[in-house]
Amino acid sequence: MRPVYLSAVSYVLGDETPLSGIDDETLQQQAPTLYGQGLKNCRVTDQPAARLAADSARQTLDTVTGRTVDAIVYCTDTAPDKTTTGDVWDFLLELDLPATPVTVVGGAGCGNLVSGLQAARNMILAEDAATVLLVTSDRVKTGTRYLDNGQTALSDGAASCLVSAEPHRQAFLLRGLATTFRVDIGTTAVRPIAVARATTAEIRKAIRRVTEPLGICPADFGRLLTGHYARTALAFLAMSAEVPVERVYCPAVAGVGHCFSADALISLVALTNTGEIADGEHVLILAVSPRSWSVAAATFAGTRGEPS
Amino acid sequence: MSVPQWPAEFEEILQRHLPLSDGPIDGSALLADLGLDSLGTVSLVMELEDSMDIAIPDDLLVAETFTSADSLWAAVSSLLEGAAAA
Repeated sequence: MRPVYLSAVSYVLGDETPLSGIDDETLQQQAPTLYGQGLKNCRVTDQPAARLAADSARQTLDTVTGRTVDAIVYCTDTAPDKTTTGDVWDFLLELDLPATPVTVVGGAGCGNLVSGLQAARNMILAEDAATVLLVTSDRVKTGTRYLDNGQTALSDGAASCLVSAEPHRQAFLLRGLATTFRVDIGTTAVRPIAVARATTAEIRKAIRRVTEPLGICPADFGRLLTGHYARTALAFLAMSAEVPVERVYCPAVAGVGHCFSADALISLVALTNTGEIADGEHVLILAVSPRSWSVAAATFAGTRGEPS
Repeated sequence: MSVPQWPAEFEEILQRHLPLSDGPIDGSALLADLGLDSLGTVSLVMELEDSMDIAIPDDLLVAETFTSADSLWAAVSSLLEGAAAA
């Protein structure tokens, strides 16, 4: 199969705000628990999601010669400010890319990143595009920022990257992508053990779909990149993924909060900027919603662009 | 202390998820007192299903099933008997 790479990851976030400083009754009730679980701040802005998307995408495009791409995948689960189409037009105009085709991806909540990667990768494999800009952007417009499922605080922000046939600097080779859905499992409030079992089973199913064709197992991943959740939720995800909890990598959880589907890309930036990842190291991205579980396996191709 | 009526495989699996257990499992002891937490419960369910080739239905995935080794074995053995009769 033709190699597909992920690179040029960028992100923008709302203003860093202590949980205690947010006018949100539900969040305030849960704040002591969240602090005890590793959360500290979340990110808040009144900027539209399309503007956040454009601000992040602009940084990613700065790495591309001519600042053009063949296609854009725009991931969001945030209700549009105008209409979905109207927001996309605003986004394209902000980027000065008025003639670039866009595909909007949603429906997997905070797992939209992997759905977006699937769409972008398929464009590359179909040779419809050589370079695709992927952006995921969301913000809280109404309701509480407290997210019971994952025990976390939602943040406003966007992240973006290139998905391309040719490797760029600090690229990751996309090895496999999979998503499973179960919208019939009920709620944790009514049947917590059954929901947890279904979640674990679906995560393992998604991971097997990725690892078995590659002939690797969960223990081969040096890092598990998940959403920014409470410590207990991270431990649960690690157990479900059959990856040692020590390999969970989400260094920005305290300062960023849970930025929807952008979290894993934010962690990738930290991983490459700090030099904590070695050429050829495998990372497993696990991006989940309460009813869907998305997995991406990637290998760091380093500065040369090819995995060692 | 009740006398265990379950096979060694069940005892071994259960032991792996009871960090506070010391010696053979008392069938009537509370599993929570032996260290079974919510994370361990899910991990235990997955291992029981994989190792004993059973599928625990949702209606048995309730707190009462995981109260003690006796209650858990009652659920597991009923599934094993159902599978054997099928």
